[in-house]
Amino acid sequence: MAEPVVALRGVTAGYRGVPAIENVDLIIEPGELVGLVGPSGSGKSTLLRCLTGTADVYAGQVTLNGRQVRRGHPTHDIGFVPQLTSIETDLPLRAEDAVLHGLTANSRLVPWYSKSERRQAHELLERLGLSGYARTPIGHLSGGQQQRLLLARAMISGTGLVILDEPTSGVDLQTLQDILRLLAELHEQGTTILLTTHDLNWVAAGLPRIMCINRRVMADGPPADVLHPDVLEATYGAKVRIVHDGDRILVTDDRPLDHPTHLLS
Amino acid sequence: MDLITEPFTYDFFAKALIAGAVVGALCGALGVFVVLRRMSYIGQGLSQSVLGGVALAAMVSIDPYLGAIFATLVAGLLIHYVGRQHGVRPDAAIGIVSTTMFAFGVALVSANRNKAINLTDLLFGNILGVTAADITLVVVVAMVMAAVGFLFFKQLVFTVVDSAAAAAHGVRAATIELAFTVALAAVVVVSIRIVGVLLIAAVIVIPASTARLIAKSFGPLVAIASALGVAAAVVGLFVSFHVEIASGPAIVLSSAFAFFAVLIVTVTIGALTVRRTRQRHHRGPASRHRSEQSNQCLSEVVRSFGRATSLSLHKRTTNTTMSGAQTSNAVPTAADPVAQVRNGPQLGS
Repeated sequence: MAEPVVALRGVTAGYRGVPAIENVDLIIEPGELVGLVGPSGSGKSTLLRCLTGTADVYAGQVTLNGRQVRRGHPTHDIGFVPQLTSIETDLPLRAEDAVLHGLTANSRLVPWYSKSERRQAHELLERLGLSGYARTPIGHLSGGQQQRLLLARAMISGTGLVILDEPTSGVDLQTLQDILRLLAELHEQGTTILLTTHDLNWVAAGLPRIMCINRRVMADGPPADVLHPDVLEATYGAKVRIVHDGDRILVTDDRPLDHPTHLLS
Repeated sequence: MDLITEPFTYDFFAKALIAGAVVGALCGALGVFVVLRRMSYIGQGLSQSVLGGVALAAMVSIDPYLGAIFATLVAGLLIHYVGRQHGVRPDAAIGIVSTTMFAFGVALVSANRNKAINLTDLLFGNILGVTAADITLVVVVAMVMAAVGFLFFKQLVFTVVDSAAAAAHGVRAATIELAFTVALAAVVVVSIRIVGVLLIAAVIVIPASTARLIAKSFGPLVAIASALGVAAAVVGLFVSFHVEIASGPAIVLSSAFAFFAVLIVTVTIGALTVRRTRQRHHRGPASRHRSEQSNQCLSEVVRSFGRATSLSLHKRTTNTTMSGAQTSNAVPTAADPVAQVRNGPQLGS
């Protein structure tokens, strides 16, 4: 049987001695597409940072492709897409160069990237609809374009695992759909994907597997099982209604559907 | 012509010029990363810390230069460590460490008034004091920096851009950041003789900031900042010789002159561009009509090109619809939330 790509076993982790997640188990097999949902501060990003070796693990074990992840010892097994808001855009950096950063760890020790590496970057930019922006400074790109750029940077390393922290936050509807299509495409190609999201309807409900966390694992499975009023109330502390339409699920507030939709009514 | 040849009749000038040019190039190149990491005052902090080491060296009667090296490296490591602690911002770490070490130096000097320390040279630099040994040290440091910078340029740039993502992508970002701080400390030490403690921050920050006004990517930015650093050192040393002022202030003033000249040019170009855009949008109807006609011609060219490529684009769009992904032409409406879900993308299978 193949080694899981991601394995967290009984992991308690956080920062400076304060746990943000406790006793978390998560096994992701090759080719899986998994979403992490939970309220702000629930430990979603900390879980991702356990995999990038940038969080303190106090108990349990974190492995990537069977190799243990240790803090400060980066692996080459991850394509990482951080939250868009964490990116400094006022930098002298062209889109093409930003994508090429994804190759840095495995690139030759010279200050420039090879022709074949640049070709790879251009192909990815074209695939993500950014071919005309290769020499554009990243600060001149829209939020959606920057998000696609970060995805290109993660994809170019060619790793089997891409993790994304809130890839759809702050992007418009068109970009959201573009990103979801790209992720679906990557998933079809066999890439293992782990993402965090706050968007239960557009993103989480469409994933094959989601994990609900609030410091600990509240539920893990297909959306039909996890997006349940009791689970979501336990996770978010908010009452919700689940609307089923065939195999589709909509999470909405607990007012009747014919209730006026004014926010304050 | 005498203005250029006369200084070379003095032995010290050639030495100062070599050391100054190398220091200018080093400070310019490293300054790019200092400025982009928003740590412009680290040069000032490191150089202020020197006093503690120099005073300690005077106390135990060893070469003050060794004391300066020791103090700067300790300060660099302390700033790096303290600045990474929870609740301490990097600028606060610089302030805490540098003032503590400066106060330590002042305390030592005031407690041992019988030990003579030449603070003027330390504070303002003295080109007359540049020795062959200084030049050797500067050149060795520069060669090591150039070699390390050449090999790890990409890692350094990625770490400056996004250290968390760099670490996630397999770059040893923490090691790179530590090595950078040590390198900066070394450059500060070798620069003290030329520019003095008080002005080191300027030779690190100003050429990089000037280059930032012009360059659009990291490679040219580092090259321009280094060139500006060399130019400021050369011009400053000539000015220092002819006007008979300290070398440090002369170099910094040359650098600042270049910064304000470039700033005025870039601001003027920006203002002219805005004005031209405004004028284009306030043209009369006839002129606007001519503009529209020209746009129509352009659109026709674009359309004919688009017709040639639309088929392949359409094919690619169709192919990106994944298994399980259900796209529909039906437009969901706010009044029909279930339709939104129905038509939304379904990932995976």
